[in-house]
Amino acid sequence: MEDREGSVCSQQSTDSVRSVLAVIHGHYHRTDLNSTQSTSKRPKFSPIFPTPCVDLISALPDFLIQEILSFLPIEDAIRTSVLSQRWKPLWTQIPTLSFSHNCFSFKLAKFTDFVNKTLDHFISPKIKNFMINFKFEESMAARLDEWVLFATSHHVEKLSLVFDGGLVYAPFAESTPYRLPQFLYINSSLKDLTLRQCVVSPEAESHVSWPSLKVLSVNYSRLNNEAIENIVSGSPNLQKLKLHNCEGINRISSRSLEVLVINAIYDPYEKHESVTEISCPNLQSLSLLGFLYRRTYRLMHVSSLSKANLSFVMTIDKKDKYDCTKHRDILRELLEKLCHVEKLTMGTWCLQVLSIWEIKGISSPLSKRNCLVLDTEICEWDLPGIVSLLQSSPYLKKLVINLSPCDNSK
Amino acid sequence: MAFTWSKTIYMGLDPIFLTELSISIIIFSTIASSKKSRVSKIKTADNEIFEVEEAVATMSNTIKIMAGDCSGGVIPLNNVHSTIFARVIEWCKKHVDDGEDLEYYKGALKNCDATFFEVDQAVLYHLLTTANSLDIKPLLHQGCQRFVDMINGKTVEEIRQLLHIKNDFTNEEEDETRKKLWSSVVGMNSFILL
Repeated sequence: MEDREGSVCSQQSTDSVRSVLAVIHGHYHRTDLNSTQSTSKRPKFSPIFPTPCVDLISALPDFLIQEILSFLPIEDAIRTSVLSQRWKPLWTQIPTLSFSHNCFSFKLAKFTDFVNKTLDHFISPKIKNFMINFKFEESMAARLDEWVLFATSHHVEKLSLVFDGGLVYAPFAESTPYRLPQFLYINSSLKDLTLRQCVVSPEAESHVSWPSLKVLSVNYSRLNNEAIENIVSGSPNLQKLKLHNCEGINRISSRSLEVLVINAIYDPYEKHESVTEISCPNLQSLSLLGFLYRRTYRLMHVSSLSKANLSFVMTIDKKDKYDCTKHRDILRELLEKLCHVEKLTMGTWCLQVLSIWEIKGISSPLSKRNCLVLDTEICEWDLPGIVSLLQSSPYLKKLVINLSPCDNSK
Repeated sequence: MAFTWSKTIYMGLDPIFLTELSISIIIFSTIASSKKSRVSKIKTADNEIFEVEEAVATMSNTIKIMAGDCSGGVIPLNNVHSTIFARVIEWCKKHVDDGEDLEYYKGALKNCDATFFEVDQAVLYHLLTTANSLDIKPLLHQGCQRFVDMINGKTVEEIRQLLHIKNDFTNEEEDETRKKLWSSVVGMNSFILL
């Protein structure tokens, strides 16, 4: 045992001796240059002469070791408790708790048991980051409420409730998703919330109060009618909002919002046209991506916008297959509102609508943009659209073309 | 519908207004923001003075705040040694354009960073404490990741040897701890083996 330790030590010590020598040379070199100063003043802090075989890492302050432990999967952070007496209690106060269950490896009951035991041992009054990820089953709802209560009572700042399942075109085909508990909607410590496959339905209009919330990401979730409007008005400091494959939203109006991303919506039964109004005077970046069915986006107040990304696709009804007047008008209105934006990114589908436009002799609105990014595979149908954009960008300084495969339908 | 690509471009564009047209077919595009290079003067604990571009130096929140207080004078760092500070500045120069978003720094260390962190434990220790005292979150983040990579795949005993941790449990205590906590621990992502 001792021999092994000795040999490990000597290999380590050769490396550390080399680095120590390099440092010593460097140190003396500098003191030569400042020789008059170095004799009179000794450095207050001279750390770089490590003795080999010393447990330096344990000498780090508690919170730094706990920061390191938060990078480990929770199971391994717990296992460090057996390294030494010093390490035994450290994991119980780590800033991050992240539980992820892969349904193919072992039963949900064991996972539940593990989470409960871990939470029982946890002694810190505060937690920064709490993440749960597994395939939700209705029987787990009560247990999950308890876990969310644990997080909120420990003043969690970043909460992620990510549930597996659901497909792009059938988000809730499988089972009833988790309904967020009402107590979660009133929380003063939450800064960052990520949800996937949940039901977001605050009961009353004034029921949402998230004064510290800065980042919100809602994916594949069901929202009741006024949910997003209530959330946005109850989060006066919200800076970044991402909605991925949620149902149609009627209005997004916020003074604080800086980044808005709407990636695909789930609205297949919406027969008539519906409109989403976006009114965010401080918005800096807007991205409309993915499949947007028949929903129109109307930009009301977006004067601070500097970056916009129009890479969306809309439904083309069979009756106007070759006409696309509706889409042309939608895109025209958007481009008019975005003419002051400095950086515009455009995807294939929008370019092709512009192409149809250009061929019919209608040019796109003049703009002040100085950077244009095209995510396209430059096929024949894109070219007139590209020309149209270039013609309407007299101040253009930079053009970037990201060649990406055409995966949208023509 | 017949048209030629070049003909349409020629007719459409007015070269007078296009100041610079560079069609770069690249995978990632970045728009670099160039700030005017103002220089900060920083004095370390061993009285060595570093002249660093302001943008690089203010990656440290501590230096940023102190610069506000000192307004143009020399910023004193009383608990950072010049050798470590030099390394920290080297890291900052590499990452000055990468932004503050910690998401960028997540995951395994990329090549240039991996070589930067191939240091012995003493240096890693000082990098971590300095990153903390200078409040440079991305550097601290990467230092922690490096540490985790070091102990990846090792058994408890191997970790003890690597970090020179003295096992001060009695056999009974250790067994008890293992039984109490480890029995319920489940996970497919484990680094540390039994």
